[in-house]
Amino acid sequence: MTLLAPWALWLSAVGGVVVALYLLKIKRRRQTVPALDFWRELAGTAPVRSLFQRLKR
Amino acid sequence: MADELFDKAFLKKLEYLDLVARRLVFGRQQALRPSVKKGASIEFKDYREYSPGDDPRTVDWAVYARLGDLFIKLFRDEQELDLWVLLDASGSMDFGEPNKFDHARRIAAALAYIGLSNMDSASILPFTAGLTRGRSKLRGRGQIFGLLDFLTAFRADGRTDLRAAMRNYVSRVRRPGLIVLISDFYGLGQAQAAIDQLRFFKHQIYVIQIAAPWELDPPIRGDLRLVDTESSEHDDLTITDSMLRRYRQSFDRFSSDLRRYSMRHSIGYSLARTDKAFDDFVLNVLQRGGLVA
Repeated sequence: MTLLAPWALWLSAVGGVVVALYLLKIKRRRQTVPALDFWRELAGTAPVRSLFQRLKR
Repeated sequence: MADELFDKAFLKKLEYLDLVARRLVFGRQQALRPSVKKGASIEFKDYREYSPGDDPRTVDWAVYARLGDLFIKLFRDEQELDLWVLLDASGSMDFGEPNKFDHARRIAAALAYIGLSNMDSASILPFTAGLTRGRSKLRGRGQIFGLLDFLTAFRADGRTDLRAAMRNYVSRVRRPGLIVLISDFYGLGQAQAAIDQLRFFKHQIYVIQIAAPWELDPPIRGDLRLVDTESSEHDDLTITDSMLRRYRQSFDRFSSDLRRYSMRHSIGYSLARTDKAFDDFVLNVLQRGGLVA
């Protein structure tokens, strides 16, 4: 791979995007709760620790 | 369902609870509770000077012979005591293992049975966003089977509006009675305002907070889609250990707030865990008193 033939570079960039999308699109298990507001309050006060968590939100 | 919810073992426990209740709580009173109001019974309460319009049959002629003045005898009123079990039948109650609504129905049935045996009337009114017709003013133990069928057929579904339900109640029932309010009490601010309405009308109140083990200590972790049982709304959350710790603290605070509010206003309070036997819970409530003044 050279800068005169950058197709491999593009390909790896696309691969990176696919991996990022896969990580962001996490399969979540469904869990019924009796009062969602209770959890929302907790989530509202939860510190967002990383850029990745911020992205997930 | 009927066999599972109210089986033979359940009926045996009801009989036992009723016997204990008679001994512990009702004893000699047997549905006749003395009232502060004066009325017509055989129990003398006080004398009062005769005034025009009083029933001449109540004049104490022996006192008249001694003093020369007319006095009438006042008797203690024998007031009926009505038991009203207000049962939260919203979607949030149809949750947990053992199921909260099943547990609440068993407690409601047990209290109603004791009420039917020992009080003047017993009623069970399920509520969601409003009060349902339920089964009102039942008298005599024979009514229990109809009541059990009614409870068995009832499904917990829909949103709760405790304030609206209590507003319905106070508009329907004016005479003060003994109210047992069974709910999970989510949305505590609203719950307190709802109970305030009952207090205003001088009802004697006992609140029973139903909680499943899951709610006390949820065994969940990781990336989850949390779905509300009442509204079907959902939120994607990542449940961490620290979040669970804060949840448990928050739930404890929620229960203590309800208990403190109840104590402040002389309201009986008990937390009923669905993993504990309902009959032990009812016994405990009866033994600690508070349910019946």
